[in-house]
Amino acid sequence: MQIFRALLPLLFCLPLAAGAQPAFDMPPERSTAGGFTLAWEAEEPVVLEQATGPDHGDTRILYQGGDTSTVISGLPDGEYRFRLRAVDADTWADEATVVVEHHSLARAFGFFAVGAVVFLGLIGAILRGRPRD
Amino acid sequence: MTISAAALATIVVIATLVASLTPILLIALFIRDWKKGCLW
Amino acid sequence: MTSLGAPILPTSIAWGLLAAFSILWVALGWWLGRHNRTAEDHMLAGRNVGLALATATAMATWVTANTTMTAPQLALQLGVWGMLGYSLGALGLILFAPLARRIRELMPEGFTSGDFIRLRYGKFTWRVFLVVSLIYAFGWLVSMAMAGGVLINALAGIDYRVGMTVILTVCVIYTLLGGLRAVIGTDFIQTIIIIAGAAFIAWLTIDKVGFEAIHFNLLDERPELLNLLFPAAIMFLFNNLLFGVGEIFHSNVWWSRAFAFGRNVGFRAYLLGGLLWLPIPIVAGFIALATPALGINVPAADMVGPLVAAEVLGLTGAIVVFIVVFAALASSLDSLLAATSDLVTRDIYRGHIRPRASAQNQFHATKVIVVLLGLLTWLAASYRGEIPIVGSLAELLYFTGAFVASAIWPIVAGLYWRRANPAGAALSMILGSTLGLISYFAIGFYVAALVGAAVSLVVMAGSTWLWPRPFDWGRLARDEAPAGGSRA
Repeated sequence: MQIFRALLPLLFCLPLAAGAQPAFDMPPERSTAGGFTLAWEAEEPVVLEQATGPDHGDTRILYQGGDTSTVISGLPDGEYRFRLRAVDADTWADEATVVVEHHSLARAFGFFAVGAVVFLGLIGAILRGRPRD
Repeated sequence: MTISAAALATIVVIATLVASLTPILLIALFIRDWKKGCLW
Repeated sequence: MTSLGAPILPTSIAWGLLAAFSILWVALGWWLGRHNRTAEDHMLAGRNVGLALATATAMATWVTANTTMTAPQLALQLGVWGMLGYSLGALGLILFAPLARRIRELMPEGFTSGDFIRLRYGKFTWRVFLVVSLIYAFGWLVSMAMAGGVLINALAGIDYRVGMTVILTVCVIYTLLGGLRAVIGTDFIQTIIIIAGAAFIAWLTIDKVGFEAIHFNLLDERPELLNLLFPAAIMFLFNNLLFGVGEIFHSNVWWSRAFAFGRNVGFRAYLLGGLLWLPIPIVAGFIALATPALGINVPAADMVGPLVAAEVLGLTGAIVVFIVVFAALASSLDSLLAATSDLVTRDIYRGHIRPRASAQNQFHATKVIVVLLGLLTWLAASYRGEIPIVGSLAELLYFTGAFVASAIWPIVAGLYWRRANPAGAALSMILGSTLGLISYFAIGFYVAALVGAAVSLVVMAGSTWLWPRPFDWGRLARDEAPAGGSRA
């Protein structure tokens, strides 16, 4: 069941390599579900910011503290820029860009329809198959 | 199409009410089975 | 701010809770199983379980660590639809209700799902089914043990291997002592703990955070979670439902209960259990939607539930979560241990190794097999990193969606279609699994079960229509009666 999917990142989390500057750890490039986990390597508390434009005009602080990952979810379509620095540093140490592009609704409802057919067939088979003989 | 706060609240409150009553229902069923001697 | 680095529950309290509940479960298991004399007592609790215990065990087993951990996770990742979609997992239980009645009628002396497939479809299909079934069961066992270790570690800072060993050992001991009776008896108490705990946390979250704040902050920070046309969530809906249906329809965990519940109890127990299960993922899941309002950082998606509970409730919340998680893990692990050891005893030991095994042989074999299964699970879970194949066992479970969903139609057709074709049943499992796996890699995990179920439907219906093979239903009961041989 889904727990395993959920636990994988935890189960296999690797010891962090020592590094002077905080840096993203393999950030994703695209997301079709509007969510992903951003992880980074850092020895000190960090500041993580998110913005939608290259100039970081609409920036917002996502997280400030000693964790080394954060779960992002529920983002609409768009290009998101994340940047990272140590709390007491003045300059940004690393940047990552993730493009969120949701599946088309046509595709989503296509799969939805196949599922609905199989499901209704199942209900039909069970109801029709009430013991008769 | 965003779900409204009221709709979200309705769904969650109904679910929580049902869940809160479930243990009581199970215990009542248990007592009934026990009295009728058909627990096992 | 809460983080995974600092456990949310003091280790001393966690050890106290672990010890207290371990003693409770083992004592109950011993007490409930003290009169077990035959394989039938041990494996099927005497075949006369009443409605209250039957309903509770169906619910408890279906509330795995999943519901308490993954429901919040899905709410966080897929929003309102993720939460509602997860609660549709209840349909697996509800749809199994008529099947349970049919199974009890067709095979009053049956023991396992393997028995049915063998009698209905013959040896080849039976072996295909056993492979599917055992891959799923062992994968689920190992992952559950691993989940137990990881969660206890994350919640209380107890070493992974220690926590995993404790939870697995406790479950093996009481399953060994009391068989299905112990499993069902403890499930009753575990169900009440899980539901009351989840409802308690939900009420306090509603009270302390409030829907207006939850809604406002979500709209600001994670708007798609409130979107009713969220594409990934829409695709997820039926896939999740069919995965759940596949798990329940094929697995001996549910079949052994269908054989164990009293006459006329199975249908009502599965129906009521399913209806009462429906709200649980919503209750357990919605608290994740409060993360933006609470300003919590979630370092790993599956930890969101405990993090929110601890933030809202402090130490009390952490204690409640720990107890609920322990109960949820135990209630599923014990069921799986019992049902899998039954399947191995009947279908591998008696079916393939010692066909002449007497009832008493089987009674002893079940006990040895529970211990062996526990050991094997422990080995796989403790050396998960060092053995490459075992290390990816958890990943293997990603794929099981394709396997279990492809078994839905062979089971349904086997129970209801008189002309279902045995070769078609084997083929529909093989093709369904294969194409499901391919779509898993080609499209994504959220379609594997869907494709598996759709392909198996087409193959099953097509083969039955083109090459009908009439079957005499009476054979199921006749062939089973002497072979069951459990009356000592």
